[in-house]
Amino acid sequence: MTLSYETVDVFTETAFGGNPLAVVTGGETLTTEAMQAIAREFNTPETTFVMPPADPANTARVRIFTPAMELPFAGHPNVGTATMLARRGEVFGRPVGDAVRFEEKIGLVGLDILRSGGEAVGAVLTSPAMPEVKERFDPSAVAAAVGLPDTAIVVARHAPVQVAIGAVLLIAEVEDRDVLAAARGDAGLQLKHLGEAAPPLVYLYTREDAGADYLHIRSRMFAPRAGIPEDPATGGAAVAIAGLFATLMDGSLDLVIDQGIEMGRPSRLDVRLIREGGAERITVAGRCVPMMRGEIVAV
Amino acid sequence: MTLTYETVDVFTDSAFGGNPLAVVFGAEDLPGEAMQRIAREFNYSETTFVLPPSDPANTARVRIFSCKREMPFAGHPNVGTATVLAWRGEAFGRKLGDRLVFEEIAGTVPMAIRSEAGRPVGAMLTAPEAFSTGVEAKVEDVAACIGLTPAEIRTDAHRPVVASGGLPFLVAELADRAALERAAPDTGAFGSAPTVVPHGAILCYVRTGGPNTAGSDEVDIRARMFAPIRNVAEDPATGSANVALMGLLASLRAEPGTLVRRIAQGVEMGRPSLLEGEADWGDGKVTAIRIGGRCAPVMRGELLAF
Repeated sequence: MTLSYETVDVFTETAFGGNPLAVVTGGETLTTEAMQAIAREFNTPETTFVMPPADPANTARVRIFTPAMELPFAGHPNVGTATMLARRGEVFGRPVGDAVRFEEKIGLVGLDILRSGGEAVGAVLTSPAMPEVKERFDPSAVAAAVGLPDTAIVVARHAPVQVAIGAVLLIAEVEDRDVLAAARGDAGLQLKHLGEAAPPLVYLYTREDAGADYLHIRSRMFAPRAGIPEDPATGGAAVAIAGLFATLMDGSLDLVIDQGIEMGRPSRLDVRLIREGGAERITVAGRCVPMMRGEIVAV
Repeated sequence: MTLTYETVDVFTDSAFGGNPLAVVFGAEDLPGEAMQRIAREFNYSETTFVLPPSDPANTARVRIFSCKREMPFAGHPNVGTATVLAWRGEAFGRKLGDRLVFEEIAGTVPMAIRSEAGRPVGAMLTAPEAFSTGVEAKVEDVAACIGLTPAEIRTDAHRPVVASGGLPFLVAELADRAALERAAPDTGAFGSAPTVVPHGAILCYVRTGGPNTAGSDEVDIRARMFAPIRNVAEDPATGSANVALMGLLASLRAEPGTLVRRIAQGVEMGRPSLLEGEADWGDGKVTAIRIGGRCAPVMRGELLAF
């Protein structure tokens, strides 16, 4: 068995920006424990394993691991895996076209490939579900949990609120870039001010620019309780916040998200809330940069 | 320019144990900032870059980067880099024997390759700087930082103290194995305890085999290293910290000679590591400290972004 891999930076057009991902191929006979050990060794936020699909109508079966656990679904691993396979041009003896469909624990996940001059440069993920907006949180407690003064959270449009899309996030708005830059991820503060039951993923954003059906935000995601001091680009959170905005407005929305700037890994997520014919869906688009290619010699 | 790399797990003979390291080749033309970015992309505790030596009598110049900064010296990067070079058998057009010398910011670092059945299995480094001890830290401060009570810090042999053989660490002996297993870093305390803040990293340990463990053990010492404010909640195998520990233990002995200790680290976090330490003691001072261990090859590849 030869295990080979590529790593990509996802949600960026610039090497060393975005969110790193390792994509492993040839792991058909690996046990779950071996995949977990490999994901932990890569120490990237996520590692995916690409395997033959159970149904030949689909592109591949994809399993997603953080260094600590397997995930049913996540955003940047899908965008990165789809782009990497499209760049290769073929998988399991079949060509990769302009759309791929992955079999994952959450169900089927479809992505469209973004091309520039024929070359695959990114992918558009359609969220397999709409997010669920849940419990609200006290703004001053959320401010204290991220090391900000009492009044730092903006509540004019929505209170800090829990949104579920597979994972559960706590989403809160802050006034401007300076406040966003002053926030920090501290597991102790989060536990002290929000309690054990609060989501460990805290997503803060500030509005940069807005139009009737257009919004540009800058965000940061802290999950120190989950072992991630700060995440440079969070696809699932992009879906969650689009779902939150869907409850606050009518019509469709183009949402541009800059994330990871403060931590030195600038990322760009292009999100669309699409409402047509009584149905609604959310897509997240991102570009990817190839970074490394190699093989795992230890297995 | 083609940049290639190998990754190894250091201080273990099993892949996915020990402390991971990436060793990058072909980076002669890269500025330091690019090396720093590559090290951050690998996201290991350290990444090394193997460059031609400035003095042809030496094997290579080795630059060591954590995710945040360049390091003057570190333990597991030297052991891993030396072993990778020994597996390759040559560097910069010259065949390698069982003695390598690296040029580093802290000075020249002699490395001895260990082979079994003709194949290199690991390496041992000699610390580049003379052993020294520094200030003591308060027992209460150290206990708060690692989530223990002051009574669980032992002070009969030495109080928690800064020790260095190249990189300084706070070294604290714990009361027993249970305390070692229960220890957990408190980031807030690391950022506020006055006598810990200037140092940032604590190596805590227990001696085994005696009343501590109620019996024998396959190792002499069990250790854990915490440095949460340096972004290392816990390190699976810290060569430089165990250099400091070996120097400290040797300096506490009355009779001259060489102290030899087998140290287990990283067990509690699921990356078991074994470090072999030696310290020479004579004329009232520590004259040399060596740390070595085995390595397991894990990955091999190339960087595409250049």
